[in-house]
Amino acid sequence: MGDLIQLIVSGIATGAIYALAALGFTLLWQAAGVINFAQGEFVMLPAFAMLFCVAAGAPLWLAFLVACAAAMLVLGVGFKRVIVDPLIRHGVIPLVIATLGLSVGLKSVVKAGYSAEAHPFPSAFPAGQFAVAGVNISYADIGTLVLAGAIVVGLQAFLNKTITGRAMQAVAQNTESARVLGINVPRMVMYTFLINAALAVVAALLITPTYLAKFDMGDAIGQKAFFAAIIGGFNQTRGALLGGVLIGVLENVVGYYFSPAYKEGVALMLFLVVILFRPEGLLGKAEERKV
Amino acid sequence: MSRKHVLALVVALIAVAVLPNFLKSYGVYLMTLFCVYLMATLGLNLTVGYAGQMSLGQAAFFGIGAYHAAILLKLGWPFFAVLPLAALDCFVVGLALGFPALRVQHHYLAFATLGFNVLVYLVMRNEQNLTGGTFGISGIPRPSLLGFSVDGNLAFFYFTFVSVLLLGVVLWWLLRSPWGRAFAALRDNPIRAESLGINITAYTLLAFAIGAACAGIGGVYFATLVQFIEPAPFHVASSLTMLLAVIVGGSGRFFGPVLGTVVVVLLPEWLRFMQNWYLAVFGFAVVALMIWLPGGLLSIPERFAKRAK
Amino acid sequence: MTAAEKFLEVKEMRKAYGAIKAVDGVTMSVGPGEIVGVIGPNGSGKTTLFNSILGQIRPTSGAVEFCGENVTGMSPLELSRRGVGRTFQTLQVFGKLSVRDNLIAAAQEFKGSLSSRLFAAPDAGLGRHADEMIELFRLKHVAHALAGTLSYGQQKLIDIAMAFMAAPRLVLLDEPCAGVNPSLVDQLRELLVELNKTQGGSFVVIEHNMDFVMKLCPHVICMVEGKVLAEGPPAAVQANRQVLEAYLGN
Repeated sequence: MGDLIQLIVSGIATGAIYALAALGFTLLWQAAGVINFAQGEFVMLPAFAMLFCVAAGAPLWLAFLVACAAAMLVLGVGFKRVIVDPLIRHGVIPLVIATLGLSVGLKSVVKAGYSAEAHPFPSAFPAGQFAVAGVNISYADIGTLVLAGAIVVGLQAFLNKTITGRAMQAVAQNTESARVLGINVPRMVMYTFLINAALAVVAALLITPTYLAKFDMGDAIGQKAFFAAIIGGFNQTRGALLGGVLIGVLENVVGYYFSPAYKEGVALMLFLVVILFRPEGLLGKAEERKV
Repeated sequence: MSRKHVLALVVALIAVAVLPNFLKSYGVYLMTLFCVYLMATLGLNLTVGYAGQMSLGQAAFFGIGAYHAAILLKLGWPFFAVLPLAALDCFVVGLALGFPALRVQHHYLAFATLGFNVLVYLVMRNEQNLTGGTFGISGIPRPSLLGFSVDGNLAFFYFTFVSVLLLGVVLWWLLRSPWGRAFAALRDNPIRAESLGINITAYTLLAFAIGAACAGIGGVYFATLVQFIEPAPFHVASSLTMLLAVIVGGSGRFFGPVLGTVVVVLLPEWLRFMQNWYLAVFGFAVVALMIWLPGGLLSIPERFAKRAK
Repeated sequence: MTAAEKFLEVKEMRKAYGAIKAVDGVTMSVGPGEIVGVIGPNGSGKTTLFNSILGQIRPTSGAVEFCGENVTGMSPLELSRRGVGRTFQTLQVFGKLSVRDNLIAAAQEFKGSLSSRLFAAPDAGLGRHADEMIELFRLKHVAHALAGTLSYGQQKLIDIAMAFMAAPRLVLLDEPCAGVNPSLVDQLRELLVELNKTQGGSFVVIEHNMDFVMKLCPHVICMVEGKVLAEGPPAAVQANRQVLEAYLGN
């Protein structure tokens, strides 16, 4: 029983990280109609950026802030201005192809330009575990849960309780109506890109200690973020959370009680089941026909 | 097609037919690979370009066709029994996959095909007994037609070349029929199309299933070309490459896949000198190409025409 | 209207968006071959009523019966199969197809089955009918031009011609005269009268152009704030005090 709880807690922690990436992914889709297949690389790049900063002697928290700033600039503003804006009016597909090309390009630049090896990454939390009611929980897991949880709660509060946040939601739900109501749509969309970039950096901070920094670390994360977003419901930000956590927990449980080999397939299986039987996602709403 | 275009097409066909005689065996292999790949991208263009759907799983169907050939040909089945079976199986699977996905919201086909490809790849890799797992299946025989063996590289090229021509003719004829108009209409204005009785779900489902069957056919030829099949070419990455080929050439244009496939098959060869940096250049080149030419290479004439005005 | 004549029946149609009652209990009926006009100030729910009848949006409550069959909430596709057609408030043509192809596309799905169409001639056997329609709408000189390159008025004509290609039993026209210059308005009215005679379908027409409505529609319904305020022959509705107040304000 203690094992199960440990698995679940650890699973929720990992799932929370997937959820952060999935959250940004969902926000981009809702607010800007962008399916970002380079989302995994948006996590990978800041991981290396932080690694460079730390190697140059900076403390981790400083590296994190620098990476956040850089990510917002390049992966937020840069991505939007250079790639999304010119392409968005040509429909979804050219943009998807562009993000695919971006994904390949970024991975290859890191691989060819820096290293194909996996590099260790410092953890933001102290090593070790502590015991609670007979269950061992690592500091890293608790730290991740607290940090990810705080961010999620903060983001939800921002989206629901501030004027800017509500404006962003309006843009996500119905861009035309938002425009008519006088909301500065391009600015709200830009905020979405900035938030996505920041969430990716946090995800990088939390997951790279376990995954190690490698040029293709984005593949698994990107795929799981994508699956998590769809499982939870692509038109719901809370869905990204549920999807991520569900994947994290089930992966751990299946990997332990069945076989580690099946761990890989869990996210995929969940995804296929949802797509075929409840395509709007677990928390999603079936969409109305558009006029 | 205008007279000029028909002439250009005939010249191109003759050039392609004659060229392999002057190439070494690797060159002949590349040209055959081009024809094989083109079968899959022609099919994908039907799904993506004409029906307006995004499929991220074309390589899975390519692989299903290839494994059909690998397994059945080695069991002694004749080529022309395996080919229609592979096409039919891919068609049926395409219907089964597309039906639930398309009934709901049309962009869900992209997600369903992505998941499908990941799943198929995992099965190919893990089911050792059936597929040979990562060790694959080797020694796939080339077919013999009415006693003529097409074992030789040149002979096999001509066999594949004629086959892709036939496939192209079939697809051309399909698009000339009222179906072609229905596709154009449902892409142009889906709301009006539906109120005029055009069953968008049925048409897109069929386009997807037919596109899948084309990939299956390509897979059979692929297996007999390389004569050794393992899961790597059927990874999701290959689906993305096929999609890339269609978009880069110009999606929704009949000859778009031809151009796109040339780029995708030949580019790795031209960029070989870049070694490690080849993929990086390729990736960013794709981004740049999309920003500059979202309509693909075949939209270049139109861009010049617009600028001339 | 006797039971045998009941063709289109809308019963207590309601569509609410939260607290906003766009359509608030509309009951109306249309007989075969009848032309009914629907007028009312902007925002009175006319287009929402159409969209609710035609399956573009799901009504909150109410029923629609067409030739005795309950068609409430049916999709536009299912309704088109039953011979119901429509035009939209905004232009909805296939801009990248030629005028002739637009018309053929508008009727080809009613010829044969999906599979038979694969083996049919490229024009689905509708070439002659399309040419006749082009003649009727005086679009011969642009028959092969891409619809998207033509003027607003010409596209409007194509839009309307498309709705009639398959000779639907019931057509709902949403502001056919919007943005159309006055000389074209008369031509439109004559075309509709002609089509009503030759095809025998019923029309329901939303329009703001009073002259057009009064001359075309023997029966007129006035909607205000989601409800039917008055209905009857055009002269009576036009003279109705409440109708005048709704349009002019107090």
